[in-house]
Amino acid sequence: MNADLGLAAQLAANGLIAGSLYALLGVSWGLIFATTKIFHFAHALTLAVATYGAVLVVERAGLGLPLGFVAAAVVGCLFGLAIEVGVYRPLRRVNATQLNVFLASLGFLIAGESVLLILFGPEARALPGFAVEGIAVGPVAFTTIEALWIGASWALVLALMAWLRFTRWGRAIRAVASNPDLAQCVGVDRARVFVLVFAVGSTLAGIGGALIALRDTASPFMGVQPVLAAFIAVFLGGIGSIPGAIAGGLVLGLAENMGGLFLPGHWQGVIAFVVLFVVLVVRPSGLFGAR
Amino acid sequence: MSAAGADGAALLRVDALVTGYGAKQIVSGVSLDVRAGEVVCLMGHNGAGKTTLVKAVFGLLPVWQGSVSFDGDPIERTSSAERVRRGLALVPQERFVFADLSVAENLDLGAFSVTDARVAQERRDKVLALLPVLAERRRQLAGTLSGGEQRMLSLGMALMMRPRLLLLDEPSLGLSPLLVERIMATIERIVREERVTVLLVEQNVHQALSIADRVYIVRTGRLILEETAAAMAARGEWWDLF
Repeated sequence: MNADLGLAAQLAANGLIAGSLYALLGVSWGLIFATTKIFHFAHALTLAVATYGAVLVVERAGLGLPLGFVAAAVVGCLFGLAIEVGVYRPLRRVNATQLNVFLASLGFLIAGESVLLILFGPEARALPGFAVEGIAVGPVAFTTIEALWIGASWALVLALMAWLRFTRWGRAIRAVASNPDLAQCVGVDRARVFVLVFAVGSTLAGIGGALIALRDTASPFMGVQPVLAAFIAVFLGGIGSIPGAIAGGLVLGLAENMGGLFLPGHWQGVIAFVVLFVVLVVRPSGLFGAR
Repeated sequence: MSAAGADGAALLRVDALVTGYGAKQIVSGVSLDVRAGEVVCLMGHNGAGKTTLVKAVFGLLPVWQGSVSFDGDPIERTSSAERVRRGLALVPQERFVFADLSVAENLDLGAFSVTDARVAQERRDKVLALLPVLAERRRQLAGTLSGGEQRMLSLGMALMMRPRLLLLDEPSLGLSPLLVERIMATIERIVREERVTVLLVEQNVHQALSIADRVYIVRTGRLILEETAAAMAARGEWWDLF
């Protein structure tokens, strides 16, 4: 019984660790989707490119991990902006359908991953420079990297929520997400808001990518799985709701890991989609979405 | 009718305006003007092109041909945000509040173009004094307000912009007769106290004539009549116009 409780506590901790990162990536993608209605699949490429930016700064230039994280944020931000200005904006100008925009995003992701593969090769790259130590709290064990995942993810998520709630441009973003036509009527420049959400969302994705590479590694295809988790988090929580994306990320992380009590670990991916399916059937608007 | 009265100068001038949605032309060469201090009503049957015309005036639809000038300056190529800064405000026909945001946040967004927080606060205090029902519900989500309260909120948001010209698109739509009277009385009070010029799209002829100075009738995208509200009221029968 004690062994079972210990296992459950460890799996819950693992769920919190994964869920925190899913929450961060969920809000980074959800902010863009809720505001622009673009199914931004190329977010996965932003994450990967930004992580390579961090790897180059730390590994090649030897500038240290803090600057690596700054590079991930800056590269992520600029790359996300480039996609908005260079890919999505021209498509909006010709009134492209949502499906066309999605296909363009998917194509850009595939092409971008191929370019990363050509430039950096298929081998995984580590992001060095972090002193990894084990931490034990009762029956639960985790590493300092995982503690950083939790701390950094929640600090960023809470900062984003405060910014959206208490600042003029944060309110403008919520206004465009809520009612884009009325936002124009009160003088909010929608194009500027789109630029802003791509900048903020892509910055968060870049930092998320660097956090992943700290524990795991960087590779050209590293962005797809975490961004798929972000999609699921957003749809679980309810589209348009930042608290929903956070809750969705946590639920997903906990469900994937607590499922280990009943199923082998390699069923994690299946559990994620089963949870999504159940929520979509029982409550299609998601946990926090309007009914 | 407006207490301020018209001072003769055209605040808004629309000249031979052509516009529509996609490739479909809805408005065909409409010309009209609204003088400072006036309440001008745009009437017509459903689908006549009234809302399309107002959207083009505000910049939500492109002007295909013709021109729109505000206070003597051409504005047909400027963005909606720029038109708000110049003094235009539009209260749309539908979805006129941010349902997911609180009443206070909706009002703050009304003053989005104001960067000085103190000025925005002064405006909010004034609007809440004018529309006290909003003060009682400041923390409530706008989507949970009644239809009449949401209309009041939309007027409050427009007032936060301190507009010189207020474009109101069917403010009585979907409201009970009692609420329509209340909304019209509020609009009349706003015109009187805030000295705002109004271009009102309305199908409720009796209510519209009670506050308008002049009337334009639109039929299938063209203006077919312009006359004073008093002359229109004297007709007594309007079916042949719509």
